[in-house]
Amino acid sequence: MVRKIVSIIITCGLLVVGASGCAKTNSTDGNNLNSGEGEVTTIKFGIHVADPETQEKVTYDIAQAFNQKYDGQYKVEFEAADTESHTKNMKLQASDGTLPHIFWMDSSEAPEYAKAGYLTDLSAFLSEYSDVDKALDESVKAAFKSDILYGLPYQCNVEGFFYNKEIFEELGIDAPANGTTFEQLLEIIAACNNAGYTPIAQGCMNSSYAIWGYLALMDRYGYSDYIYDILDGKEKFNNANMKACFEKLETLGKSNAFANNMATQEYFDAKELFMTGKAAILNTGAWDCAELDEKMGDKVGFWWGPTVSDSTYDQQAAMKVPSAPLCVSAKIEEDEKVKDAVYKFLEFYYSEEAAKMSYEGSAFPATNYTGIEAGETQYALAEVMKSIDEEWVSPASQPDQILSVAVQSQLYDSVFGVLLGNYTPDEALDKIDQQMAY
Amino acid sequence: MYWLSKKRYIIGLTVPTLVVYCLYIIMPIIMAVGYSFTKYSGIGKAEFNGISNYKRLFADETFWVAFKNTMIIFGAAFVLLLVVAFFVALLLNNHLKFTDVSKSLIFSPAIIAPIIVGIIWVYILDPEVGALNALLDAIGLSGWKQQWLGGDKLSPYSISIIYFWQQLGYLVTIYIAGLKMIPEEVMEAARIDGASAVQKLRHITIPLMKSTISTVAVLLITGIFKIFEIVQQTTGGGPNHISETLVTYSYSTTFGNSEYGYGMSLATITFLVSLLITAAYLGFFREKEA
Repeated sequence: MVRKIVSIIITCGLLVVGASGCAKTNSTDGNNLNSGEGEVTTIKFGIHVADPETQEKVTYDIAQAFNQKYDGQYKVEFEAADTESHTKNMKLQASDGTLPHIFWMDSSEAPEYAKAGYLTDLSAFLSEYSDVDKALDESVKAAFKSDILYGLPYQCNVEGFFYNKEIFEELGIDAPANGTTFEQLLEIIAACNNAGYTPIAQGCMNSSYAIWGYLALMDRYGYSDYIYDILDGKEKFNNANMKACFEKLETLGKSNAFANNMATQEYFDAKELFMTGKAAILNTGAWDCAELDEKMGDKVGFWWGPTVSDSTYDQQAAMKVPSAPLCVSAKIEEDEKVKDAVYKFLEFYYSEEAAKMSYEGSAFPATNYTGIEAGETQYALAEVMKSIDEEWVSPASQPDQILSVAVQSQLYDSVFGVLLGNYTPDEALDKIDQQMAY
Repeated sequence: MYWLSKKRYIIGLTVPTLVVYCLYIIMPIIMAVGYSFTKYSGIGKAEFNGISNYKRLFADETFWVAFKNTMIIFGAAFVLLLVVAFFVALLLNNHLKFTDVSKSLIFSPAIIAPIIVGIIWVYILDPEVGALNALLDAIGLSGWKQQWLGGDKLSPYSISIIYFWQQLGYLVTIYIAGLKMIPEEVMEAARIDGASAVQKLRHITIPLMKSTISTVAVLLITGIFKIFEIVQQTTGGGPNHISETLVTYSYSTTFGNSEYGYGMSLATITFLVSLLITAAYLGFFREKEA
């Protein structure tokens, strides 16, 4: 009898353990959380960093300020994971209907979520909150519009090259400035190499996305003018303009513009190389301003990248573009309290108060409030704002974010292939065209 | 143990295991194979696209690079580990001084997480900041410096070495366990008969260790086809997929490019290749035993 009972217990136990792996956990079922009468309504915010308090401090601070303002009524809670895990999690949660209420989404994947019906149309939110509508430029909103307005920009990305003023003073050459030509950049590279400095700190390994500084160069060869023709199949990536652009990248590689171990350097290693004074230029974006201020103080300058003489397109191309979108789960439509809470948070997130907090944290908000200036010790941010004030033209969307994920990955691979000398410009561009065909 | 031999108890105790095995092993394999015939981004519904992914796969240069790299790692690590681990085990099975310390030292890499192993070896093999090239510089052999990682030739060999370093202790332990199973009387008899060390090894140790060697071989085949973290940490499969293995390429295609269908076709092929090699090895081994 005892043996029978033992067998039954073991059998049941194993089945329960096995089955529990398939069960949903209520803690992540964010769509129905705490929306009962008199309770705090929790807003689940899926974010693409593992520790928002340190890695996305501005967003974290905005959320805390919101929680304080609406204490006892609404509360933002982060569902945090690194970008790769976050992207996977969102897919899984979309398939089982447990997406967070608000979540960061890669620009190239968001349209598919919208198409599959996972996202709510934010036009309704903008109609209801006209102040937010006014604070977001039309071009910014247009970046995330298909059949519905499926997202609003998380922030604004400002991308280009930071440089170390001290190194240029030491070398006795002019630091790059907006308008510096590609040929002048080659002279800078030669001077840096002669003095034993790495000319451009560039992350590569596990950092394929780190092509920011070259995006404006692509635009100086007209990328934003013909990319939609390429996507419609009327034009190829391997065209004369893109080829000329990739030949410039090839020249950079051949001129020893990068560290010898670029292939095994991550973006964070490249940043370290620059911040420790071993590299003259860093390819990155304004999101690094706070760190640059802390580590390098007023030694840092900012530049949109080289202009070229073999292109007929406007050379005053900058890269100040909407970043990836914040999307809102379609499930909020099922619960008025949750929907109100999410709308309140979005109103706060795009408010002037939040914009000020963004600037204080050296991040560029997506909104267009004027009269907000960099603080006295925000040297890097001030340098970036100086460049922005020159009013060079930015495209409506970041060039790589228009592409599907697979084509985007191939673009990154092709750029690095040319920089490293593994692909010729023709091979690199053909590979993108090949990927487009799948 | 009588009650365990009753049919209903056997069924009762086997069913949960089978259920768990089917749910977590068989089902995912079937699902992966199913998805390999679809175009699927991980969002919405998968679209059936027949054998398109497999056609693309065989025409994909990167797949062949990943396949070649996997085979290089397999060839190098399999031979090195199978043979060297065996001889190290023979050495450590003797009652020599410091064998316990040596066993601990040899086994220690096996308890380090593969991702940490990768980091350690980046500091050794990195062409710019690595200790190996620095050492070559220091001893005046700068001409021998190589791009051990990240170049277009040596990455798979470097990964084999790293895997060898990490796995040696684990496999030595299995071999030592096998050696301990050889009856002392048999060795004693051989010694009395005047057999030399080589004769004992050839005619007693190796034949009696066949099943252990077989186990090690299967562990190696399956292990090598799963090498992921080391590649990810040392080269990330790059640059430009030059050091990609089948597993890392499958992963980057699936999760990096969001091409779940194509990624699953790569995973299916990887699974089939490792299955074929294991079956071929075991078939050959059994034939020999027969």
